[in-house]
Amino acid sequence: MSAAETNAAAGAALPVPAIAAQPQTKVITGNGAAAWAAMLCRPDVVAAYPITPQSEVIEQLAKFHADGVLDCEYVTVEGENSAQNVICGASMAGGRAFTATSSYGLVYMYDAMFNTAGYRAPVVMINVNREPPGIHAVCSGQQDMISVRDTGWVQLIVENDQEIMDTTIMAFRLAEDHDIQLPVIVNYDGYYLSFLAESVEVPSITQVDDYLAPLKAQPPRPQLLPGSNLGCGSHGIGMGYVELRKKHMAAMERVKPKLEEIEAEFTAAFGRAYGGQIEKYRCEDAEIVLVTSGSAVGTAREVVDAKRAEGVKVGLVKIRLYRPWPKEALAAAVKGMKAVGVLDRSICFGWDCGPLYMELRAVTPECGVVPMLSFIDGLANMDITRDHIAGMIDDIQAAADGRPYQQVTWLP
Amino acid sequence: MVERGGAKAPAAGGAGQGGEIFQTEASWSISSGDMLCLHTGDWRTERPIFVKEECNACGFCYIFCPIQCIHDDEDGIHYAADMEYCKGCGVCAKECPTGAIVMTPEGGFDECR
Amino acid sequence: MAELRKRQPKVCDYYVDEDSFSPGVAFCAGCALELNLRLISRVLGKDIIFVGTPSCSAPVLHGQNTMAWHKHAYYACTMTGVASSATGLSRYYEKAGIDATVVCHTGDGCAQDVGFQTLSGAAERNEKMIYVCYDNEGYMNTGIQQSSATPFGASTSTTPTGRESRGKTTGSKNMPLVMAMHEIPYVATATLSHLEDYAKKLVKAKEAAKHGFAYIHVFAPCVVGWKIPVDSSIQVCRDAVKTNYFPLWEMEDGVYRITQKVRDPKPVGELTSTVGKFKHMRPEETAILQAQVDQRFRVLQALCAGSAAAEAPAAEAAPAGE
Repeated sequence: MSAAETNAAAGAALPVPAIAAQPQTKVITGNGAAAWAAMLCRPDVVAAYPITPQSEVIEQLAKFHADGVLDCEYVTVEGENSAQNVICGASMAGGRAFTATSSYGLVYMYDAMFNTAGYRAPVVMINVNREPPGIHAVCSGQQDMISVRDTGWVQLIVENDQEIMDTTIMAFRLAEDHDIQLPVIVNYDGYYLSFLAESVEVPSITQVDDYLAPLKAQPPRPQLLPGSNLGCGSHGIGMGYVELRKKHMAAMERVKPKLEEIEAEFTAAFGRAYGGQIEKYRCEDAEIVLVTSGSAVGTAREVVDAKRAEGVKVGLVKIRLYRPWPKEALAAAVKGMKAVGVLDRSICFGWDCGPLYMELRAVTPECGVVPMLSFIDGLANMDITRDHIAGMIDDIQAAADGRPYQQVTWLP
Repeated sequence: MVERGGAKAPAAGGAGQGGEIFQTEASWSISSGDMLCLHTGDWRTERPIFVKEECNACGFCYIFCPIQCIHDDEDGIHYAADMEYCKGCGVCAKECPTGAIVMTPEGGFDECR
Repeated sequence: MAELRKRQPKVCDYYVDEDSFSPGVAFCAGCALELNLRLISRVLGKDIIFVGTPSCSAPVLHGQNTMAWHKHAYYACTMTGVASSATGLSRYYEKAGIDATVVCHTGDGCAQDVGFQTLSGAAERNEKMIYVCYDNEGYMNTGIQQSSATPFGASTSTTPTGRESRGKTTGSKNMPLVMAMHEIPYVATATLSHLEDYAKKLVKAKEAAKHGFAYIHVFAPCVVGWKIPVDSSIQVCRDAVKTNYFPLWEMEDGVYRITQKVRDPKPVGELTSTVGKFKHMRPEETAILQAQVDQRFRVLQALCAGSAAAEAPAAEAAPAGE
């Protein structure tokens, strides 16, 4: 709960800033949607450090704070590593905390991210996907998200600005749920979504308060207060360490049904649905399927429609939940397909393929061995075009028909 | 180890069940009850002997003892060290301005065997 | 025989309580750091929140599974994240209206090296906290490696003496002055031989931390790493002050003053000759160290004189009664 909600629980009314008093339709960028969503969730502490293509998120939050719309401690840190530690500390003291970053900033937080996850701090972080260091690129790519895969955070990835808005709100609900208590990243493609202005339904702050209200009735989590005789971050000795790792793993697994549950609550409140862990598009009678994530899904939907019109029995699976890996849902989605293609916007060193592809291959025992094709595209702002996707579907079909196919294809 | 399944699992962070070390989901220590404690008196190879005739009750031994184990003696004027924890470092003897504390090898003492 | 009157050392006036630590903890025998932590606990009281990190103090400040060696509220961080984590705590308490004193407690390796960026950032933002750096001039917990606090000539496990090497080749960072240059409300140096001086500074720091950032740099020898006799850590602190190697001063809202005037400072050789990590140094090397100590003290004196001059005109301008 945020301090504002704690005070509300004690009888004080939550303030309602005029600009968020009513639900509204706004034309805003992806970054704008993220900032609005965070503001509506009333974070107590926001840590801010700029990095392209995220900076507008923290700039918009600064404006909200400066105008008295967002009553928070706004901390202009001197680096992302500090941003992460600030929000973890604030969370362990009992507050709701938020930050936003991208690529270089995300990996700069690496040690601190392990801390946050291990401490089970329910913070929410926006990551605007951009290529990380190594080959300098101020460009979109998902390698940053992939590189922090095993830090123990929940990771979601979204398709458009509306989904940024909605998923960020859901992220607070998910993170702070008593059964979960895990930090959550909401990823979205830099450039394609961060700066793209779309029409977005923005809930009122009261609607969001109501959506997050179930958290108030849950048992409180430990809170580091003066005189509490509590130590946050003790050494894990022997089986103590193992036990906590097991608990963390179990919480990760509980995310899968919990995400479905809280999304159902969201749909009931706001009318929008996203399918939970994955979304299946036109898969009912599909024989082949393309699996992908992020903004490319929007383009893929159109190509799938076009191919369907030509008689190709193709379906699309959109991965929303990256961590934990939705293995059961994916296995069910691709079972019975004659061939599967996975479009990655990143690469998996060591496996000579895309990372989402690699993880889908690991589901093979459950869904049966069929041709699986890896497509790597969209690195460093090289557009994933309709022609690219049409070609991918043709390749998947070739594999389904028993014709020769290439297992890993780099585009363009 | 207690396994927790899906949405019906007992609430996370609830009371530890059979064999769990932590009642919490993360590594929190709680010291409202007992604290951890080492019997550091076992460490020492010599102990401070307080020679009252030389003592001027200045209290330097009391304030400079790194482990703060020096306390009032029974007579309320002089000082004595807590032998359960005294590590035998000798700081008290070194800081004593009148030489009223003498570090003496443990071998000569019968207790603590 | 004349009746013996029990005297209470002045530092006792500043104790608010017994310390909140277990009586038996795993600091080396004679370690000044143990006195440091117990003193802070006694003077600042049981309700402070310690923020700590891997260091010599970690085995005692960090809990073990569900148990702990002390009763203070405590937050453990990575070395890169001390002042930033403390910022998170401090800012939330502010937001929630919770009265709290956050006390960061780290070694010199964290404060001056790997955790410096975040310390500097927190100071620039004037976050409300006390940051205590206990300076044993190296990374002692990990095996006596050098840090940017290790002085010129000192032998450490990463600047050992050998056929080609005479110990550390560069001087240490003047960390207290670096922190003073952040223009925070309170900066002080302190050591364990001058307990009343230190206690007064802790009290001032606690008051300053209600409004901003307070930094205390504590000189605390390492018995093992410096190769000194187990009973000598307090004496070494005293020698450091007597030689101006570690002058005791404070800066309060831009006003610098020396809190322990040393009338007749001894040559630094009186310190280095008693400390094993320096014992290989030749007279010409000790002279280099002496020159660094002197230069540093001159800078400090200039700052103090400048502060005194800035305060004086206000007194002179007062009308001479009439």
